[in-house]
Amino acid sequence: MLCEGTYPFYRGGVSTWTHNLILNLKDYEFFVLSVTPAPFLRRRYDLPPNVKGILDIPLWGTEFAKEHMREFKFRDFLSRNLSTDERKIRKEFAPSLRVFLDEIKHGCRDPRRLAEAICEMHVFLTKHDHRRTVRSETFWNVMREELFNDRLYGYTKLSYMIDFSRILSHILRLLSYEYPYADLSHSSVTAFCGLPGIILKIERDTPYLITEHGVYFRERILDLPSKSSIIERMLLINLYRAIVQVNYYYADKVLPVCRFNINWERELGVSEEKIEVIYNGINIERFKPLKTNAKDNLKRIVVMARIDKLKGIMNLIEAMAKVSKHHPEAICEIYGPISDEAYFKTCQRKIKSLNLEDKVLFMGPTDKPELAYNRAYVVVQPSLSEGFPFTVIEAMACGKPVIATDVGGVSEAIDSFGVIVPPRSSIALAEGIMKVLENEEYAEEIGGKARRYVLERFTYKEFLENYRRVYLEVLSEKIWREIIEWQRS
Amino acid sequence: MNKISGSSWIDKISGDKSRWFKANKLEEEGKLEEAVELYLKEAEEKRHVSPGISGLCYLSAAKILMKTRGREKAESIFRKAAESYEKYAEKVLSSSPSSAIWGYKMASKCYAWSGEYSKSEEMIKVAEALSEKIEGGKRDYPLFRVFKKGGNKQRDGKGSNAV
Repeated sequence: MLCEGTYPFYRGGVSTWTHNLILNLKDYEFFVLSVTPAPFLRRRYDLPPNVKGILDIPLWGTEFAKEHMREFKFRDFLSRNLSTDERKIRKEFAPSLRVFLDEIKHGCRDPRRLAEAICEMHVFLTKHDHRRTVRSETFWNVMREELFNDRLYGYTKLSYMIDFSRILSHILRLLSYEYPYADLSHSSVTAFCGLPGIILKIERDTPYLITEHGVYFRERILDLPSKSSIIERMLLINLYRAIVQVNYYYADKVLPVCRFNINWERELGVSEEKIEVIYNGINIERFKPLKTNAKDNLKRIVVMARIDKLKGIMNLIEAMAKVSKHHPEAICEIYGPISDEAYFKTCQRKIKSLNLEDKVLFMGPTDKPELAYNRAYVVVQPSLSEGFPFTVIEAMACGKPVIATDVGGVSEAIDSFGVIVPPRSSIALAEGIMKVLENEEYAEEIGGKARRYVLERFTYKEFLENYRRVYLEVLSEKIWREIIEWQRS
Repeated sequence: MNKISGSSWIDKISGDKSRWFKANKLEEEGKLEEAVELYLKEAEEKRHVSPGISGLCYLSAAKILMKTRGREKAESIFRKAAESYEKYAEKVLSSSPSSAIWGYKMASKCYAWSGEYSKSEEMIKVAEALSEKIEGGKRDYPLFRVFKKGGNKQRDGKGSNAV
């Protein structure tokens, strides 16, 4: 299982999905390869017994690749270090780095060429020292020739190009690890963590699957730094496009969590026969209507989201300013960890400036989301980007009316059993909330219908069975292909 | 393309307990008789508990037998694989119709390779009938959606819940 910035070190929808899948597919053994920003992170999940091992690959925070690993041996490190010299880098590494850079700056014109360069760099970096390689003169010469002196990208600031090159050199750390052999690789996102899946696919013919929650490419576009110039943005977009396209090209199956994602996947060149939607499923025994101890007369608007720009918390705060004018009994409780400290501070300043200190409350993360949903009068999901959010179907399963922005697979999850508003519009969001607050009968009616809809469509049983079958399917198809090829020959 | 060099800790964690994985490795090493034996053992053991995995193991064994002893020798194993895939399809029909469709299709292919063409046709008909049933109501979701001024959203034929 290939993860990036999620399981088992961070909480969130993708981590919940990964944990549920591994925990319940007891007849399969998993090895988790997790790309993280730093080493020695605390695990947020107890690993199920069928997880045979975990390899975390920190892109930052260590001086040498692998130094954080228990298996790190000084002797190996020394031999890698001694065997890395300028001549070898120039001869064995530079040509593939050049191809890699050429492909990423053009957004991947040829996925096979890019993948082969990645494999060659992987072979080199597993045998040689990553640090010495990316600090070599040759490395920076290639960077200069391919990026700094490029006809288009040469117009960007030198400081930006140096930063970009430094980021790339950190990403290349991912290629300096040996990956465990597996019957198949399954990536939980179409991102850098998919590179080991591609390498295993090319070198060992290991089937490779991708589950796409939020569309990675779309989310990266939404998240582009607003201060950078058009050319700088283009370079970043092309980098992401290249990584996404090479992932799609080598995936045996792309499994979006909602039909909405299919459109993006088609646009990015995924063939129709590779795509299959597998909706998320939830534990309906856990998420059901419960009695809670909230005995006041407040109408709670519950939000279950990490504090992040993509989650649209700022819109919600603005909407609450309008709602609380008409409904002083309404308070908003936001449950979730802070993943963007700067954004959190901006939200707090906004709350203060709108005098909403007692109306919008940050409750922190919770281990008992079912209780939080059941405290709610209405559940709101104000995101700017989503895949197929657990929040929405969990709240629906608890029989709560849901008001959500129309992003990703939200409208597929809600269908006609909730209120859907456009994203980025605090006015529409406020109107949606008030529509439900002002009509108790309507709230009860859609809450009840929503629960019945989830029980019919988004159960654990179907979710797990679909993945169990896809695993069997790619393995069986691989054998089948060999049979046919043998017969032909 | 160079093969990944196996280092000790990687070997340790790479599926040393899974019989299917071991059989796979034996097959890679060219120990085909041993691999077939292991695949068949696993297939028999999983026949009732996990017919899907059992089907996969029979198929792997059939593939090797076909290569080493010819198609006739592999026919009985293909039949067993077909039976397992069929059983798998029946088992998951209520919880995951799309899985059942795939199971029936696999069963059909395997029956064909075992020489039972009528059974193969029967399986494909079941799969087609099922897929017609579940794929009838698919909807399309456009890449870019148009929103009316003031936050009203245009929805295809259903706007009662939109604000």
